[in-house]
Amino acid sequence: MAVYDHGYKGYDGPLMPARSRFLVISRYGLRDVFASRLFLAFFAFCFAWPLVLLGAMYLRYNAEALALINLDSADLLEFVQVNTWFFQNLFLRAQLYLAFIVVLVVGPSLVSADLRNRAMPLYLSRPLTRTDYVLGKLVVLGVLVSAITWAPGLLLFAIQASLGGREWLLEHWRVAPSMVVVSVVWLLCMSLPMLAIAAWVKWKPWARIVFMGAILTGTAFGSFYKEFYDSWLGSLVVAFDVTDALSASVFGTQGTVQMPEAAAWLAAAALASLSAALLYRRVRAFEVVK
Amino acid sequence: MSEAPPVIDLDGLGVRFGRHQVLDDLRGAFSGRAIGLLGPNGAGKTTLLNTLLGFYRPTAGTARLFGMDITAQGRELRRQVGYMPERDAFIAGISGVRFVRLMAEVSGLPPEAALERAHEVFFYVGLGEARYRNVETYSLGMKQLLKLAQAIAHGPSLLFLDEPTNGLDPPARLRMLRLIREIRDSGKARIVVSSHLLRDVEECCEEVLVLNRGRIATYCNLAEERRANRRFLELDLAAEREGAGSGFRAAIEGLGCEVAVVNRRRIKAVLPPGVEVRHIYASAIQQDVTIRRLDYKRTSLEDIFLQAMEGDDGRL
Repeated sequence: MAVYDHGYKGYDGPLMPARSRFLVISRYGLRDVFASRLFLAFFAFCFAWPLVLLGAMYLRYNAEALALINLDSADLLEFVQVNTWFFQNLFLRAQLYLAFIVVLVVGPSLVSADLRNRAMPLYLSRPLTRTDYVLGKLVVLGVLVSAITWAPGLLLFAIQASLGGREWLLEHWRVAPSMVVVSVVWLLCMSLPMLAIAAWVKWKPWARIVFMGAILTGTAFGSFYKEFYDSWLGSLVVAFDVTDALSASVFGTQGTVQMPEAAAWLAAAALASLSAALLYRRVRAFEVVK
Repeated sequence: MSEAPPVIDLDGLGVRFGRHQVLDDLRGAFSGRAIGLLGPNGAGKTTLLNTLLGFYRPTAGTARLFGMDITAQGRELRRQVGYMPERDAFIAGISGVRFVRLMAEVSGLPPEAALERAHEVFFYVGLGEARYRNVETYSLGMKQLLKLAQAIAHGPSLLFLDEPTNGLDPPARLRMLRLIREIRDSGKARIVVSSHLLRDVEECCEEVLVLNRGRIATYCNLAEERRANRRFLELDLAAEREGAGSGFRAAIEGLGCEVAVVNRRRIKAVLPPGVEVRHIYASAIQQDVTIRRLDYKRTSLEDIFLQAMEGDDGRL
């Protein structure tokens, strides 16, 4: 079917593997996301804090550079302790807040437009399942969130390990997998509800408002419950309390939230499962009216 | 050599939504190049298409496309299928060519091949000049062609078209029907057209399945029907001399035709095998009779459709 030959012809060329077909959706999704210059600028800004921390780590081990800016290495060594707390709170917590904004901005645009414009039958009439579709969209958020959370975290960890030596590495080895685990759990607990809300609301601004509303309502209700009944149960609906408890559990540190580890894991699993079920229910070619 | 499996093989297919039986015990095998699904609104045409595409799970029986089971081999089947939905369906915020390329890539084409095919199908459907425009700016007719473009971009061997001429003005409708016939005649893809417009189905389909209230009301092989109808002739005569008419009638009866006289100037004839229209003309010349009008009597699809609806409880 060449352009000059306007006759219909079939296609008998090579095909891409079926199992990786969902990555087509991810690739197109990522390209659309980065088509926005405003988002690109924000995404670049997300690397500012890791760069600052990288600078601090570098200075800590470079007496000559410190002398150039008239700083005493002992002061800096005292001020910047590169340990589990550094990675868990100074780095990862800050990055997770930025990742929250990324999910809030990007998440709704991934599915709401497809559902509003009835694109699902087009996707699902091809060799693509509903799971593939959701996975494809989730990978977009996964790549973006990973790029600003555990990926730079591992880079910082590797640099610190090379600077701090074998002893530091042996003492803090748990930090590296913990950053990955917390980031992935956080990604699932934020992305799936965001996608589910976007799939049901079908309009980007409303989806963002509903998502923010759900987080704020949960936080307000949970905080009130904790204060009024003096019980940790309120933390179950406070997203950031659950994140803190999970993070403490994974990093093996003392958390700021008085909440059993199992309850935090259960709350996260329930949120992700419920969101996945709601999303899966909505992502279908046609609604069946019984 | 084994015979090719039918394009669509319905094996007691039933679909139920809650308490509502939408499709009920559909049976039959269809192998035409273009199969039409006809029926009044709510007859189950779109549900049948959606079930064949795997969107709905059969609650009874099953169906096979090219011999492959729609539930067990759904993914493999959908690799060979192109689908043009009835209602507007597109991905917002991207150009037409990018949309079609994405659809081709999701169907499995490598990125370069998908891009090439996307450009080609845009020219094929006649939207070449609009391929870089945002799909949201397309008119209704352009969106219909865009839906066709995405359905054929990956070169499917079976094309499902759901109400392809919906909302089109007459020239756009003719163009759409021409494209469907071209694809059919190329022999590269079998086509299933669902429509409530009899003329559209009549113009592009060889087999027609008439549905009513979720059941098959009738099946009609239009190609055979046309061939059969070609044997019925209606003739208006002008005799130059007295008795020429009866002489002509006797002459064509002598050829083996069954003849019925409507009036002195009009007769109906059924041609036996081996007798062609030129033999009738030759007899007319011999008998000094002028044939003023010769019509093939055709049973229209409308007749078949109305008959089917009347046969099914007599209600439309």
